[in-house]
Amino acid sequence: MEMDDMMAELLPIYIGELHEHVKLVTQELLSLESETSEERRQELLESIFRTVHSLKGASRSVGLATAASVCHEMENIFAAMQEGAPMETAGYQLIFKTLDLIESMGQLLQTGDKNAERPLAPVLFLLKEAAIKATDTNQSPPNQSPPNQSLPNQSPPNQSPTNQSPPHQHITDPAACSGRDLAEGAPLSAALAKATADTTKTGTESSSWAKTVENSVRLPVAKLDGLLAESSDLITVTNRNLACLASVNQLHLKLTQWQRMARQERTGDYERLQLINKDLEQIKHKLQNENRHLSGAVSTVTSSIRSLRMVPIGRACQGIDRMVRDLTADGGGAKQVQLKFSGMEIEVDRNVLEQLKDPLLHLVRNACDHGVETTEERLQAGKTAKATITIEATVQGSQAMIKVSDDGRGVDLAKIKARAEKLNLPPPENDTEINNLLFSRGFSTAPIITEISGRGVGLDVVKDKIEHLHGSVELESASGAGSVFTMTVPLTLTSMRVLFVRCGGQLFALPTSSIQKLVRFSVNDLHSMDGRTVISLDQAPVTVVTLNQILDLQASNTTHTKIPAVVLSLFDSRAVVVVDELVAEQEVLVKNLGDRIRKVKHIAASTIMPSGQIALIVNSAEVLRSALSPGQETMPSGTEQELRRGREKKRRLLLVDDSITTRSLEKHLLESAGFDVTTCVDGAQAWQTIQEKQFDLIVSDVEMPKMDGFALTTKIKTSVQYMKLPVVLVTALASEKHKAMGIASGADAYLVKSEVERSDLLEVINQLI
Amino acid sequence: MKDQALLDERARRLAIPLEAEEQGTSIDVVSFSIGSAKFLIDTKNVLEIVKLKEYTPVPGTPDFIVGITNLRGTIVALIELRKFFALPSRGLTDLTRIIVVGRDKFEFGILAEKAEQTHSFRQSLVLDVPDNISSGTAKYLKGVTADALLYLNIEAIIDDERMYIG
Repeated sequence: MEMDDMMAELLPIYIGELHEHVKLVTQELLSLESETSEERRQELLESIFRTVHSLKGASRSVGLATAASVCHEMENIFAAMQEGAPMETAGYQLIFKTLDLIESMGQLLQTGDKNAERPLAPVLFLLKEAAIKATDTNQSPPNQSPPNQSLPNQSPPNQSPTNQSPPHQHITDPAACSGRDLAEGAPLSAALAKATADTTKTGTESSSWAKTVENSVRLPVAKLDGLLAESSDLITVTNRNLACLASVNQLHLKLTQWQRMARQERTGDYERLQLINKDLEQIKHKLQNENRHLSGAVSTVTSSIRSLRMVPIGRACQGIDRMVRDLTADGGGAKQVQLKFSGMEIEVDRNVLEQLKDPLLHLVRNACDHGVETTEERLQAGKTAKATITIEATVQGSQAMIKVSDDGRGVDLAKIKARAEKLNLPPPENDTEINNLLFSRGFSTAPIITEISGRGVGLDVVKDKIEHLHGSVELESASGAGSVFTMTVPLTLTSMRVLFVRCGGQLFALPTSSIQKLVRFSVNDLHSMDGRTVISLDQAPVTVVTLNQILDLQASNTTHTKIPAVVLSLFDSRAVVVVDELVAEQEVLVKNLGDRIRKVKHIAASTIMPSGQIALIVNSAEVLRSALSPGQETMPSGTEQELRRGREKKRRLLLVDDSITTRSLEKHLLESAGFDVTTCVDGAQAWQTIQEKQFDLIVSDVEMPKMDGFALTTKIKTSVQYMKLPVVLVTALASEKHKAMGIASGADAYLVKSEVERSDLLEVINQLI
Repeated sequence: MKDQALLDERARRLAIPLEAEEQGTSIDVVSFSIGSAKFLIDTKNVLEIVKLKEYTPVPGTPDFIVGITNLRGTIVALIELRKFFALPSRGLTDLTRIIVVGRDKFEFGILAEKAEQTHSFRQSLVLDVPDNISSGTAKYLKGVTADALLYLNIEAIIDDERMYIG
């Protein structure tokens, strides 16, 4: 029982290690395959040997005998190679295959499979054979051995196969032999610790970004995310504290005023006020100090947590070298490709990295499959036999720019034009239009384009993913000379600069990276062109849409004479997006939309305002696409009509209800009926609002804090100024007594919530005004 | 002898339901109401009951998603259960409570008018879902009670595909 518990604890550690060991071996094996320097080869072999050895020890300590045997055979093969045995492509193939199978075993272990080792059985025999063959090669004539074999110091003691009994005898009982089994017999934890330590030492500089084995603590990402969520709550708390401080400041001001008044009027309160004010001032200073400390600490903590989430971009490239190998000559294909990496140490947020993996893999696969020519074609075109695919990352401000380039055949413009014609699309005139076409859905997934132009398997998917990251992707290509895909993504998604705008009564945030500028214009600046509403910006017509329209929100009821708008711009497309109000620009922490809302059109994420309220962050690319989509054309000058209508005089209602759901529901109902609605949360606030603004009718709840609906009605109906203002009470109180009270207070109508239907309320209102 | 056997037999028959009840087949539930509809939900899946302060509607989501709210830094979607079940929703209701459901983490919040404390409920009082309830709704119910409380199969709702948007 205890053993099982221990296993349950050890297994996840083992699986994690297995994953990293396999990754590392794959990495180094790939380097080994193309490495020509003998010295470097020996280093790599030594490192691979150690890693495999660690994996063997770890496997055995969790009772995976077959896995241990498989590692043992691999050890033998690598030991023989260190002694100079050659490795052919088939040999590499076998080891890669084995690594894949070990990885599958890991996955089975994860699912709790009791017989997880079964995928390994078929290769064990092949490995044994290969090991014997390799060892035999070394025992035949010495002239096959590399020169360094004569230097005994270079090979670790006991490693020479000749010193050992034939390796295939080990296999039956791996625990009983091999002097290299350092961890054998040691306690489990020690074995694992040893295994980890072994790998840590093997770090080589050239591929340090690829290594996940560090002097580090392993912790689940969920914990990090939890920390980040909680730290953002800290920011909210700090902001609330600041608001408190502001209130204290105000109180201090007021008190100082009273104090002054008391002195002038020589009332006896002066001394007392002075005393209180002194105390208050002390509290204020204390609070100010504490707040400064708190803000500082909070911002340090949150930024450190954020930096914990940063990982080198190279990790998104893991597996790519392997894939390229499988797709090209080494994997039996007719193409030769060398892969180059640069800037892989640049750090991006974990989320960004996750989202980058697929697009990168996709672009490189595309380049291998279609971009790069066969060796024969290349030689005919006067190019080097071996094609080069480069993945290059650079930082530009707060953005990472990742280029995937190849020196293949490039995009064939003539064929794209032909394809466009076939799809009844206008032929692309410039690079932007070619880009738009290639990344568009119907175009790129069409199978024919894959065959003829050699581009575009799911480029729309790449675009989607990158845009979801608030990034962009672009293709430059020269026919015959290759292609360059450039992806620009933010380094981190946890924070972003946004512009807050108000629209349909809600606050929205637009990423400033997508905003070209802010404009204000009058209704008369609008023109109609090809069924679209446009305004002239920098001497060019730009489509105008309202954010209300795109997000399908309530029509705006603002009355600005100058209409506020944002010019959204991504690459060469632009649109003017009208909002109700421009609020402020700010750096915000980005949050998701909750576990349940994974993807919604036009909305990318959310952010928590200092008040604790949530504002939605708009997906600019999608909004821009909707604004410019042909579908939008079906509402010719609709935008203009909407804008004009918005500026006509509407009936103004004041809605009073303390329940937020009822308030929103009724507000929605009344606004869709064309009323301009102002809301209040209780009678007292309503009474104040009535005196500030003009209304045509009041709709009020009865049960509310501070001043209830009856009291409000009485107040209105007994005032000279507002007695004619119609009041509709909408309430949960259904008793006759309450109805009578409502009528006695002077209300014009009394509706019971449980009985009222939407149409009833509107009918009553329309009767009264 | 024969009589004794008969009596024994009868005693055994009568004893079975009693034994079953003594073995504690009672369930812990939270009850809440939305308009005239009343629901029961397993206490173990109710993580918190909080007052609804603010929420933000998300355009482009199904109508049963009222919006999202901030629960101590975690964003949680709010559900209007009547719309989820496509029940007629006459009149206006003051949905002032969030019943936060989940297993080990917040899954979503159900908006309710009133929510009551946990109470134990005898399993035998839960009746089969009557035939007049549509199969679309019935699959989210564990049963009903004689006084028309709907006992939610909250696990089924948590795992339901409709509850994942996009």
